[in-house]
Amino acid sequence: MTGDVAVAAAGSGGCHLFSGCGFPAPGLQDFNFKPLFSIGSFHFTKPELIAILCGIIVIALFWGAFAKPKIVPGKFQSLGELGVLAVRDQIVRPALGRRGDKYLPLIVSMFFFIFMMNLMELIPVFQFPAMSRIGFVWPLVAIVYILYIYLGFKNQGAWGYISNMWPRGVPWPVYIILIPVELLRFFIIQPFTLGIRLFANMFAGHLLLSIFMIATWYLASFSIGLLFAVGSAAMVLFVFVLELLVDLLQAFIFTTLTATYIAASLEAQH
Amino acid sequence: MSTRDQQGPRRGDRDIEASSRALGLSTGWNVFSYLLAGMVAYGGIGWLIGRAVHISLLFPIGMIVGLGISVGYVIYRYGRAEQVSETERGDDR
Amino acid sequence: MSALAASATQVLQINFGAVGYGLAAIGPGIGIGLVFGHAIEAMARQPEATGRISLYMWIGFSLTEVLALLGLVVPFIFHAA
Repeated sequence: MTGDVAVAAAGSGGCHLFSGCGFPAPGLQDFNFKPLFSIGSFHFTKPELIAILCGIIVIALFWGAFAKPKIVPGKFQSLGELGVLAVRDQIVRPALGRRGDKYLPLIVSMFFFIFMMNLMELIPVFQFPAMSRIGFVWPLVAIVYILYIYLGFKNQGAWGYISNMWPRGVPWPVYIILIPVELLRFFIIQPFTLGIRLFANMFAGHLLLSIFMIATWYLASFSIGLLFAVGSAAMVLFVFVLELLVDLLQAFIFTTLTATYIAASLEAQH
Repeated sequence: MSTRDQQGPRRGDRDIEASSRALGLSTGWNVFSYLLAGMVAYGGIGWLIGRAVHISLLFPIGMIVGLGISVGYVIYRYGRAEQVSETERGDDR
Repeated sequence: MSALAASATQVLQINFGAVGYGLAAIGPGIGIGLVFGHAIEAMARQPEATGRISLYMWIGFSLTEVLALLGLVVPFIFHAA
């Protein structure tokens, strides 16, 4: 993180209050990373490492839990079952009902992947939520987007799907006025807000956490700054807990809305 | 007959609460998407027309008109009594 | 307003549109909080009225949100006019 590099470079004691360097405020530059290694023009950076690691962790956890399932589950398997059942009962079944069990693998993987990626914001060595780089969000959104459009066409036919989207019960001049709104909302605004919600929450959370952490370090000089450093450290604790909540909540909202969009696509013509 | 299986034959209270939570969540973001989409759609139309007619004020006017249209539609669609039906979610219990 | 604003933005580099939106979002922020807060309280007092209360809640939310979104639009108006 370039913020830390600047702090470290500001002298052997580091950059503190009254030591001559200004506050190394975190900003957009803290979201760009120097590549860990490069192959040609392909740069492998820390967010990519985090994303691959999260994928491996989620796969490993569920593989370990369910590789050899027994009727009477062992400890690891019951933990895995707890996770899957929680997602099924709180996210998939409320939106889709029983036929949602077909989409359970997707929703479970998505939920735990997003949650793990978000949690990386809080784990000491990594400390970066990969979803705060928008490039990691759009592929997930694309998966959801392609899925619900495909399901809509498959279940209701091309014309049926489009005719189901139209507002009904309105007189036809109003109908014409509403067509661009409905089209834009369904094809552009809805997936856009799905992605931006996750991205903005993670971006803001990371910025919040890093501002208070850097402030604690910066203020920790042997002067009046120590008092403020304690206050800043308290804020770090508060933001830490807040970010735990936000990580879980954002993963939950993303997957619940995914399940809802799938349900809307599967809905028979009414 | 299993008495512990809540998901199958009977919809318990926790079920209904979870369903309405999912419905409420999606309704909320649907309303917001309608507002945004109305603004963007008619702002875009206003901008295109404004470029043709060289009145650049048509862009914000289009956005305001679109906002009005989408608010009207949201009130129409989400604010009527017969919308409180179970079929909106489309589950097939 | 434009000449004064233009010179001010040159000297202080303030984007008044962004500041205007920030100020415009205060009221609707409080308003939406009130709408949902009272709706939740009403639903807690009388759970059987939840459906009807939700309807009015969404109407109230969309009308309040309009004011915040208008804050996004107005900088374009004053820029264009």
